[in-house]
Amino acid sequence: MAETALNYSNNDTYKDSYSADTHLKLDWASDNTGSQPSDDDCTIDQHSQGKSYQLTNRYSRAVIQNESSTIGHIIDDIKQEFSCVVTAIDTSEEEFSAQISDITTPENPDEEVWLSFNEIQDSDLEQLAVGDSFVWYIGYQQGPLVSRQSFSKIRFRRLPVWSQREIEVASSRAKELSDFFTKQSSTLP
Amino acid sequence: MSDWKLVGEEASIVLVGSFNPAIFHPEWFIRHKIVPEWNYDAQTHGNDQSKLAVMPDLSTIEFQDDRHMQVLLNKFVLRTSRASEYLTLKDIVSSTFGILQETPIAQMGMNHSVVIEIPDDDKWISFGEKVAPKAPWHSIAPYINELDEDRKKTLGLWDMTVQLPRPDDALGYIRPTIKVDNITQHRVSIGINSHIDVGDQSTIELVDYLNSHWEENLAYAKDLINNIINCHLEE
Repeated sequence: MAETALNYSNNDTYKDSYSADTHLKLDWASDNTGSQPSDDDCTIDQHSQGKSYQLTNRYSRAVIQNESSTIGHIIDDIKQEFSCVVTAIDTSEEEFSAQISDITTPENPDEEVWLSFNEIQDSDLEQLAVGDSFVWYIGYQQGPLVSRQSFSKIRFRRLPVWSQREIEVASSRAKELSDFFTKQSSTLP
Repeated sequence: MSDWKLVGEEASIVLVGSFNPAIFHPEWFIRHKIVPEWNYDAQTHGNDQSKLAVMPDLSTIEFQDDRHMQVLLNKFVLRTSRASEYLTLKDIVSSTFGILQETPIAQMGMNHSVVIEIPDDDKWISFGEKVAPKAPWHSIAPYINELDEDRKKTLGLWDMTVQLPRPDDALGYIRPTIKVDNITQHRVSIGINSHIDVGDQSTIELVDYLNSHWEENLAYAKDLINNIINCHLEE
């Protein structure tokens, strides 16, 4: 029977939950492989100081470097954030309109703006549709290797896909309600 | 001028449960329209090692815009250092586990951390002293009193975690951690782990919770971090 030994804290939901010299080792005892694997077959070593992971197994080998994860190359200093919904698309003019709500200053009234197709990624353009929601960030970027510069970024939401079961449950509930209200209205005096 | 400056930040969503890392391949995410198509094969480290590894016991993917995912048999981690991508972490996790609804998940962490630099020597020492006063340690380890001044200076805050009750009714806790990130550059990392014990909730209920509470948790973590900094740096 396969046996997996994970020698580190399993009940921690913080990203760096490994202790300083944690040795993480996965051992497969092996009646399903037919032979005892060597250490090189399947070992993950973590050395927190160098933040390096090395994983090898009989099928593949990868070195995953995890440099100081919290310090990225770029810091986003967001000054303004808008929640937006696409309201119209004009393919001939290569632009689309959106209703935007100011999240940073919610007292500001909603506005309607026209944006060029050039403002969004090709992959988002391919499936652009009225009703799509996106977030628009405006601010500055900076980092150890990047001088301070302004940025404007449009990020389309890719919201959870409805499963067939969820659609069936919702349809069934909608039918129940429809039947209920139809019956109620037919019995009114 | 401020006594400190921000040098890095990060948000992450961590799930503890039982996962099948081999599923978590870029093509799976693209096929389910969770992320747009991107040329994941072209991604390489400076040392030409691919950032992509998908194996039976571990999967690691770097999505576009500095979003990193790592899945072990018992742990799923999605993190980013870009504030403009914090919202997409939620969308990716919601979509992924909206599809993989049968995945047993026992715990969830919504985490936010920053690294700040405190350039001034006195402020740096005073910050550590306020977070973790040294005086009790002179009694706990009396030999310290006999050491020369240079060695005495090596006593101080290194890593501290405090547990707070949650501000909402969810099962779990809040754990702020203050940790020296780089002693020579006077950098300290401050992280907030908002931990949820799933209990009897289904994975879908957990996803619903994440959907409705992610931004709120981030805002709460930012407030806590600001309070930690201001409370320990003010005169």
